[in-house]
Amino acid sequence: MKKRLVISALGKLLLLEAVMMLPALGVSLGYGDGDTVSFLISIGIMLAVSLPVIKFVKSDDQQMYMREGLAVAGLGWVLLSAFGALPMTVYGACDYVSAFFEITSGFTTTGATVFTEIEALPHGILFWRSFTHWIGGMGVLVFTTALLPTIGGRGGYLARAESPGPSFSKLAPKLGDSAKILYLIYTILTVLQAIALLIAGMPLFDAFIHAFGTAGTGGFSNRNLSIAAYDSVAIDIIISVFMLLFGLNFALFFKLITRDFKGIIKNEEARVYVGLAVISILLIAVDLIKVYGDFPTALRYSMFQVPTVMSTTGFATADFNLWPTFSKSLMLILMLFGSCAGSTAGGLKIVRVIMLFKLASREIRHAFQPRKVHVIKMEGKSLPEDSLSQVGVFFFTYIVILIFGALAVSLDGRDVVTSFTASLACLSNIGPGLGDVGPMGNFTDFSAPVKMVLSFIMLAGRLEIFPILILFHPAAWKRS
Amino acid sequence: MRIIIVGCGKMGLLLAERLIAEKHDVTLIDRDEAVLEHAMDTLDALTIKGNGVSVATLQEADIKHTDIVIATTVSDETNMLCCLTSKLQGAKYTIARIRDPEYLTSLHFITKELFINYVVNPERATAREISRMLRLPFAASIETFARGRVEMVEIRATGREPFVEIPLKDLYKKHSSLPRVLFCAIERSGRAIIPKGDFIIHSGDKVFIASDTPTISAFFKAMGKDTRGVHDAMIVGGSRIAYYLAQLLQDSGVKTTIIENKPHKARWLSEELKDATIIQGDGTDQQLLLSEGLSDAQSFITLTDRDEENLMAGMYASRHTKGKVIVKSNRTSYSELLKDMGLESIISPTQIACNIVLRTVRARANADGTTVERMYSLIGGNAEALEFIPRAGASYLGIPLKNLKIHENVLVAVIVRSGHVLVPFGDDTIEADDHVVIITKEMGIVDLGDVIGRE
Repeated sequence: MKKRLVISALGKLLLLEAVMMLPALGVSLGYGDGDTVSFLISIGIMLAVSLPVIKFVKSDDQQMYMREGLAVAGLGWVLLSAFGALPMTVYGACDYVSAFFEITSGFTTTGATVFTEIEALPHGILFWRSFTHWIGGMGVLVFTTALLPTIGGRGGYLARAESPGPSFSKLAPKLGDSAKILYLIYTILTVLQAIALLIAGMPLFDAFIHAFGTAGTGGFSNRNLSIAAYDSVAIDIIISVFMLLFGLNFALFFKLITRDFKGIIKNEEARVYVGLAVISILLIAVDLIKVYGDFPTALRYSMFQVPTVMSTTGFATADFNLWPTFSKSLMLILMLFGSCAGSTAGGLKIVRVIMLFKLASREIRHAFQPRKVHVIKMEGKSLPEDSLSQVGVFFFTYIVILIFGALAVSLDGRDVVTSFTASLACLSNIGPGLGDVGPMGNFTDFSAPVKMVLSFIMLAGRLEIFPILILFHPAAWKRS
Repeated sequence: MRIIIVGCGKMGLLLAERLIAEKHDVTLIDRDEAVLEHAMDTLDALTIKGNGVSVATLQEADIKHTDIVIATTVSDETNMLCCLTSKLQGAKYTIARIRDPEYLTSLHFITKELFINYVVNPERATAREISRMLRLPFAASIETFARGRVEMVEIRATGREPFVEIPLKDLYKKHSSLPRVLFCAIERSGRAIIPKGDFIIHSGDKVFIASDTPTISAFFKAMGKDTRGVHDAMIVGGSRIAYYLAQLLQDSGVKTTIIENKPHKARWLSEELKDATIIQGDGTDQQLLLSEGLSDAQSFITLTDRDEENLMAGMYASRHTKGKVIVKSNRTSYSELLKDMGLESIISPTQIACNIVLRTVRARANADGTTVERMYSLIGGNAEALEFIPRAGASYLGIPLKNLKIHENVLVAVIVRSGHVLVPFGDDTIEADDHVVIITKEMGIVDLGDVIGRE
């Protein structure tokens, strides 16, 4: 491990976070509801730590390899959360561990909150919380490769370590150009959504908070009741459509711009994703008739709640904790699957689920015809065997973390459903689960150690597990 | 520019690295996933797995909006077909690597019918370079500019030359009879230096000296060097380079001996090359080398397909002969090490071919302005020598050099005006249709105007 190189990159990352706090500082100045000083102190601390590091830790060797890329991704995200938690702590909104949980939940676009009285928080802090969704959604390191290629060095180790999905799909030959295209699409979609929400009658501040929450598929709201507070069909529809859009692979939007319509229709993952969403919405709507009385109302709530868990956003217009068991079970499965690779969403990713299904079906057929050579294909291209086994290993690790997370949460003495779904909601970066952590509940009452465990589970889920796991593996720290 | 490279061999990867450094958008196509994965780790390029001849793969690489396709797969035929398909699919310019001597005679017809805009033959280009090196055996390398009128010679300073341990500006005050040459670049412990008047050359430095061809000869003659070319050449390895080289040497009357181990290859060479002596045997066998007259050989060149064999044989030969030893090795990064072991002249066909392609790409990148006529990379790629022909209308024409703004680390080395070579001073000017040779540490220059402008 090239420690100096990693430390100097982390220093630059921290400086970048201080810069990213400036919009929130501006908002707090504008509203003047008492959190300006806490932002100034936080930015001061971040500068005091990052500037000396940048100045004194210099590395002659700028070449980053996989090991360094993973370490910068893993440590970088922990660092961002650790310092991002400062404004809330300094302001006195909650203790440090809760603030760390809250901001980790923000950066990882989970949206799980420790606050019961969200509306009592000042605007600057609300903005910062939601802005971390927006940054974390597309990725901090992707952002740095777009604008500050000196941090990333050559090659794609950094961006790849951060990108959701089995592979980082480049849109242009140069990594920097790819990252710029991604951020451009991301920004345009976010602004479009904010405008749509404004037109639908949402106040300006709320419109941006919810656009950030949707774009990053995070789910922080500035209202105690989340989207249910507005009780508007138009707002429901706008947000559910955008949630589904942000769950799609961003390469598809690029194909739309370059008029490669064939490529969009051919995309197997997107087709399964959309199909799964439509079928789940209809099934749950039918199941909900007995709760809401008529199909249109049932459809309205199902049409919002299904995209919110599929895209792992976590907004809510209804308490699905009170829904019938079939609907709840289906929602749980969708929580595990998540959305498309290359989106801002979490979960296992649909493409992995498709590959696992194909793998399973091959094993079954293999039992009947042991000598038949069977190649697994995706969109007409055969998949290499090692990428299939990688998916298998990923799935296993995912489940292991899920189970151990549930075990850790259960130490707090909650029921099985709460423990299990709290772990799942954090690992898949959704936010709300079932039981005590359902859409109308929150994570306030968990003990500090459990909050730390859940924070690391969120990071593991966002970074696709391995960058976080290697931080705990001694081999990563040995000299090469 | 948008460039597709088909085939990620040594040449493809080196080209990609250099082109990316020159800010081009590069897409790599190869059939081997492992090679692509390695490329993706180290290069900022798009990689596509597939066959470079298939339309689907080329379309995936966005062939319609591609400026240049470079085909460098191992097979000449694939490269040709790739160029044809690419051109039909909308690529603007195609470059193919074609190596087989059998295609040489029909090359004109092939390139015309298959829409290949440029053919690069690394082996033939390497053979040409070696034959040039054999003309001045004491030099580590020789590059020519302005259609052979200007030569740039690379030599290692041993300490006995008049130009060492003296500020360059005082050299001609002390040795007024010495023919006027220009010291254009120095390599000192792997770093490139473009010298100013107060620079002092030490023993052990590599020195690049340029002037017109007769003056260069006179300069080295005055220093007591033998400026006659070699009369015989001993070549180990009957590769394609050996074949091309033997042909070139044959024409200039150099007695050539080729040692080749494989009987069928030795036989083929013997059929094709009438004046050369072909010995069938192991070129790394010391007894064989001595019995074939290694001790008296004026030049010894190792050209087998294995770099390691070339280096071993080269090192052995440099102990047993006073003649010129040239070694083929594509691993140029070790050249510093090899110099310590007495091997001065290392040539890399990959590097030579890359330079040719890069020159062509730069000429395309700047199709309306001055084009790069020649390009050599010096000192392990840390400096470049470039030749331009400025067209009428450029802003810097007719202005004395001392009044022009010339970038740091750029040296206007030689100007050739209507066949006349001059080593420029502050009062000289650049005129339209001159051949201008510059030495620079800036990479990727496509136009003289990039580095020279009005105040």
